Amino acid sequence: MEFNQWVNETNEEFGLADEDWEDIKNTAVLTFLADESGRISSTYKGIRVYRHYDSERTIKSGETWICSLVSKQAYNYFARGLQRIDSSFMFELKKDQKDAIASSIWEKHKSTIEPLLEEKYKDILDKNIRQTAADTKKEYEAVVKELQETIRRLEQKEAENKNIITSLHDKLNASEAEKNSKPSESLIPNAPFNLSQIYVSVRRDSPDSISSEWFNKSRYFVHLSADQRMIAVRQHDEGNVVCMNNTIVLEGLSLLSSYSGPREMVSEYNHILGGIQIYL
Amino acid sequence: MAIGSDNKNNKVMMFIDYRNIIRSVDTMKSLPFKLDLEILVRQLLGPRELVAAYVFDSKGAMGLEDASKRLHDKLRYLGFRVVVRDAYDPNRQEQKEVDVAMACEMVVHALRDHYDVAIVVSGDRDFIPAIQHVQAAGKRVEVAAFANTVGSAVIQSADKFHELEKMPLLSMKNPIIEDSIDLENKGEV
Repeated sequence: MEFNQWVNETNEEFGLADEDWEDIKNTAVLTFLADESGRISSTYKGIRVYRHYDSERTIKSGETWICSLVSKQAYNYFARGLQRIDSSFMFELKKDQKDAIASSIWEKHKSTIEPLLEEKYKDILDKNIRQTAADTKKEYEAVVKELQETIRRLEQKEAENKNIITSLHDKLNASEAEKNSKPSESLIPNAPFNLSQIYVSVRRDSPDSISSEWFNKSRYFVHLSADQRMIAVRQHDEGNVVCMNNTIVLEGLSLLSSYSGPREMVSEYNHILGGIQIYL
Repeated sequence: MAIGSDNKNNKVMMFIDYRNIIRSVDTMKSLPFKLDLEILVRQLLGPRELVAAYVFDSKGAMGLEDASKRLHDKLRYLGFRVVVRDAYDPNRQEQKEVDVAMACEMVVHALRDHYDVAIVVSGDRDFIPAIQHVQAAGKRVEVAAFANTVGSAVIQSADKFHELEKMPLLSMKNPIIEDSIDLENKGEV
């Protein structure tokens, strides 16, 4: 849209007075530059435009202004600055105004702008493609890394499971071996064979006798350690020691350990011995 | 604590120097307790497989031959392999040839790979060379003895040492049926 056309439309829309119209008719958008002598000026319809003395302090070289032109001499104009056109001015425009400016610029300068945009957006596009490729590669590497980590965890888990299975097999074998090495249940009735050692109650009732609820069979083997600190009582059908009423009488027991009255004796079941060991 | 384990698959051969260990319990002669060789073997063996248990002894001194023979027969009946040498010096109360016989038996069985573990029931240091030869044949040697008949050299030469004092090996009996049980005593000496 031509500036004058815009002015006309504005006039129609807002109903400007004639004197205003005269002012607006002499309004132009000019860009001021400094010449070789340093004087700041612009050109309007082939005529040089200098700054009006009212605007000498506001209009500077390189700036574009909407100006009201005053012709004091036939070969010169003097411009009063009405509005500086800069980025802030552009940003303060409404969206439809911006769009109108943009479309106007595009229509008039398409051939100029298009190669520039292509050049500009080519870099941006390349940059975006590179960025996207880098992001995709990074994402791919992260996924691969995560998969490798998952595989490693699964392999570790598998190894752990194998160890657990091996350990359980070993335990099972050891348990079976232990079970096989233990005496039969008939040797020690009611003995908790899942335990290697348990404490049992044995009483010294007299100088030569010991008694316990565990002594519930008729024949036992009884052995003494050479250091005379421990005796082992093991049930056996061919045992040479007879048990009556849960009591075993042993010859020479009083010689090993003096008797000072009835007492509990420290004793435990020992599956290796296959019987009860009693500490004197 | 000795390194190595009591593998239940190990084949064990036991060599008992009878006079050496019986001397250790001589101090308890006055007490009514007798050394039970069968329980000795069972406790030293543990869960392992026994190939053979040898007992090495000499014939009894003059006048004690019958008692000695009864003992040897009883041990044979229980399954021991009893090796008896003729020579015995009654003046020094010392047996002859027995140690060498036992050492030869240990080494020969080791070289023929008849066992994995040899258990030497004796504290006599005369066996140290034999123990070393058996070990050189790739076998494990355990020594079992009473503290009063064993020296540190023997203990050090063994792969494992068993203190017999702490094992319940002396058979006890009750006075009620003493006479009848005496006939049934198994391996008691």
